[in-house]
Amino acid sequence: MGKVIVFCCDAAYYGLNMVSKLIELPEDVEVVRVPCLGRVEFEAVVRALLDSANVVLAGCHENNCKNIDGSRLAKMRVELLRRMLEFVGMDADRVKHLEISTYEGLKLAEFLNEFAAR
Amino acid sequence: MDLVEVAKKLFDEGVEVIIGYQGNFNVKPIFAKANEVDKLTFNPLCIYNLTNYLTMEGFVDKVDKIGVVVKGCDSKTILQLLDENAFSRDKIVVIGIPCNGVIDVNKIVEEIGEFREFKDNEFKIKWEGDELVVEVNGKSYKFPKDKILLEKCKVCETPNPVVYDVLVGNLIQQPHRKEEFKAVKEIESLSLEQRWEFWIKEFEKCIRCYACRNVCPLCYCESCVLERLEPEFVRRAVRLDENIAYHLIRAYHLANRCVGCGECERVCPVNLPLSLLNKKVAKEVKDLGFSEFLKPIEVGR
Amino acid sequence: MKALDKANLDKFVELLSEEFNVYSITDTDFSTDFDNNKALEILKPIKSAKEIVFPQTEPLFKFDLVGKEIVVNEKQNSTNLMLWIKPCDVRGINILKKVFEKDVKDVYFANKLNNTIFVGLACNNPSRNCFCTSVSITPYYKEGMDVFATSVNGAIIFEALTEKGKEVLEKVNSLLRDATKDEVEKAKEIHLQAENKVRRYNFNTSRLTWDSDVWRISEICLSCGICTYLCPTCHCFDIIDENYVYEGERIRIWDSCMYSEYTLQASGHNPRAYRLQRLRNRIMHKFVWFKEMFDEYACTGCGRCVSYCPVNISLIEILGGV
Repeated sequence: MGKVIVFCCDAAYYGLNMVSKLIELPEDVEVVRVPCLGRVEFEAVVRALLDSANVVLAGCHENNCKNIDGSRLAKMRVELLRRMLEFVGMDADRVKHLEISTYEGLKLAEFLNEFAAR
Repeated sequence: MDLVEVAKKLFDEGVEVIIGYQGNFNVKPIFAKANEVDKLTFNPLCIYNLTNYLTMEGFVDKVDKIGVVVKGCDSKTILQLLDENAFSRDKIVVIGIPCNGVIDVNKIVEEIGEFREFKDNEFKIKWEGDELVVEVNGKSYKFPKDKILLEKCKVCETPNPVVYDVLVGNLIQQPHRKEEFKAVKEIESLSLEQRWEFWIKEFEKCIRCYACRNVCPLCYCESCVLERLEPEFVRRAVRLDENIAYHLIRAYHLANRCVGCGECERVCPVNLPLSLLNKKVAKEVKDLGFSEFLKPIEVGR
Repeated sequence: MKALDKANLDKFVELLSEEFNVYSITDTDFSTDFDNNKALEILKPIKSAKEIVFPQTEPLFKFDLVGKEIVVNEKQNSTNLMLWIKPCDVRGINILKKVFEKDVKDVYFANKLNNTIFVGLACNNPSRNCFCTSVSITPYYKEGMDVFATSVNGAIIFEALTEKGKEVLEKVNSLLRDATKDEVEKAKEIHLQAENKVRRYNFNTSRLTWDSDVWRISEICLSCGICTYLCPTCHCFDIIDENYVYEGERIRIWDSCMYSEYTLQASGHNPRAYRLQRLRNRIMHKFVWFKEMFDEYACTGCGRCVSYCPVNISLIEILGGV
C-alpha cells in the first residue's frame, strides 16, 4: 500500500476542508491544492506513479469549472493516461479522476479512505 | 519537370535555401544554396523527414524564403506545424514529391551482401512498377516491393503530398487505405503481465540518447520538459522507471499531433518500437473522440 | 599457443562462468545472457564495451535526511570476464584509461578495470563502415587484452598475454590442446586478410581548423546523443544528486557534448549554443586536442557513429577520407 497524492482544485479543496472535522483522512494521503485541475501537469502524475504513489485528481463537475475548460481537459488527460498505462502493462486503477463540487467533500473524503485502504 | 529544374526555377524566384536530399547510396539531407542545385536528388532511399529542420535553431527566422522537399507523409507535418503557428506559410515553398515508398539502406546491404568498392554516382536505385531495381558495380538486382518496403510505407495512407506549392512527378493513384492499428491490437490482446514483460524488455534497452525527441519534427519546444531541473519530472539516471517516464511523456506530448512519419522508430539505435506507442495514443485519441472537438494543442501540450 | 575445438565451446563458457561473471557479445550490448555460438559470429554489439568499466549510470554514494552517515557504494569484488571483445573496443578502453588515470586516478574506473579480464577475439569480417587501420590499429590489435584469440575454422586459438590471462587459460586447461602448426599459420593469414578487408583512408586532420568549411555539415546534425553514447572513447560525464523524499543518491551519468544543455551555464549563457559549435567541439576534441595531449587519436575506427547516425553524417567524410 503506497502513498496517495490527491490533486484538488480550489472548489474540491474547500469541500474537503469543510468536512475535516467530521472525517479524518488516512496518514498516507497527501493533498496538493491547485488552482484548477486543468493546470495539473500530467508529467507530475507520471512521476508520482513511478515513485510508487497512487494519484487522485479531484475537481469540479465538467460544466461547472470556473475556468470553463479545466475540468474537461483533466478528465481527458486522465482517461488517455489510464489507457496508456494499461498498454504498457501498468495498473490503470492507480490513477483516478473524481468530479467533486464544494458540497461533496464528504464523498471525496470517504473515497480517499477507501482508496488508501486498498 | 524534374527536381533540379524545379529547384533552379525556385532559386530564380527568390528562394534562398532548399532543404532537400543529396547522394545516391549515402543519402543525406542538404541545405542547398543556388550553386549547389545539381546535388539535389530523390530516390527510394530518401527516408528523412526534412520538415524537422524548419523548426531547428530558429532557422525560418534567419532566411526569407525556404524551399523544402516533402514526401506524402512529411507533408502532413507541415499542415500540423502550420496549425500550431510554428512559422508563417508564405515563408515556405513546399516541393511535393509523390512517393512509392522508401527503404532502409541497411536492408539493401543485407540483401545484396557487403559491397565495398563502388562510387556513389555509379549506384542507381529506382522503382519499376512493383519492383525495386538496384544497379551497383555493373550488376543489377531486383526486389519485390512488399519484401523490401519499410513497415510504415506498407500502410501508407498518403503517397501524395497533402500540401504543396510545386509538384515534382505525377500523382500516384492508389486505392484508399485506412490505418487499422494492427500492431497495436496485437499488443493489446496480450495479458497485462505479458504486456509489462514486453515493454520492460524494450525500455531497459533505451540509452536515452534523445534521438527520438530530436528527430521528431513536432518536438520543437524551446525548453524541453526533460531539461527542466525544478521540478525534475524525469530524472537523469538511466534506469527502467525513468525510461518509462520518458517514453510515456514523449508519446503523450504527441497526442493528436503525431503524423506517423515513423522517424523516431527509424533513428533509434537500439530499435525500440516507438511508433507502437504513438499509434496507441493516436488510436485512443480517435476512440475517445478528442480530435473532433479539441484543437490538437490542447491534449498533448 | 593453445587451441579449443568449437564443439567444446559450451563447456568452455560453463567452466569460466563458475569463476567469473562472463559477459559476451549480443546484438545490442555486452551481456551475461548471451548465445555461445552467436556471440562468436556477431561483429560488434550496438553499444560499445565502455559501459562495463564506465557504466552509463554509476551510483557513487547514498545519503539520507535523518542520519549523518554517508553510505559509499561497495567496491566490486567479483571479477568480470569479457569474452570475445573486439580490438576496437579494447582500444577504446585503453584510451579511457589514459583519461581517467591522468593526474588523479579515478577510483571507480580503476576498480572496475582491475576486476575485468579481457579475452579478445581477432576480427575477421570487418563491416562497410570500419576504418580501424586508418587510426593506427589493426583487426588483430592486442594491447590491453589478457588473452588473445583467433577463430580458425573449427577451433579457437588462444594466446595468453598477461599473468591474468595465463591464469584464465589454466582454469580451462582440461579442454585445451596444443595448437597445430597449420592452425597458427592459418591464424596469421586470417589476420592479414581482415586487415586488407578494412577500407583504408588517408585522413587529413590539418583541414580541421576553427573556421573550416567542413563544419557546414552540422546544418543537418540533429544534436542527438547517438554518436557520443555509442562511441567507445567518449568519456564525458555529469555528477548529480538524485533526491527522493527522505534520501538521496549521488550518481555519475554519461553526458553528451551534442546536447545544448551540456555547456549551459547557470547565468543562462551558453558558449556552445549552436550545433556547429558542438559538432566542431566533438570532432576537434577527438582528432586535434586529444592528439596534442596524448599523441594519438581518440578514435578506434569502430564505425559506430557512421553506421548509426540518423542523418548519415560520416566521420570519414569530415576527415577528408573520401
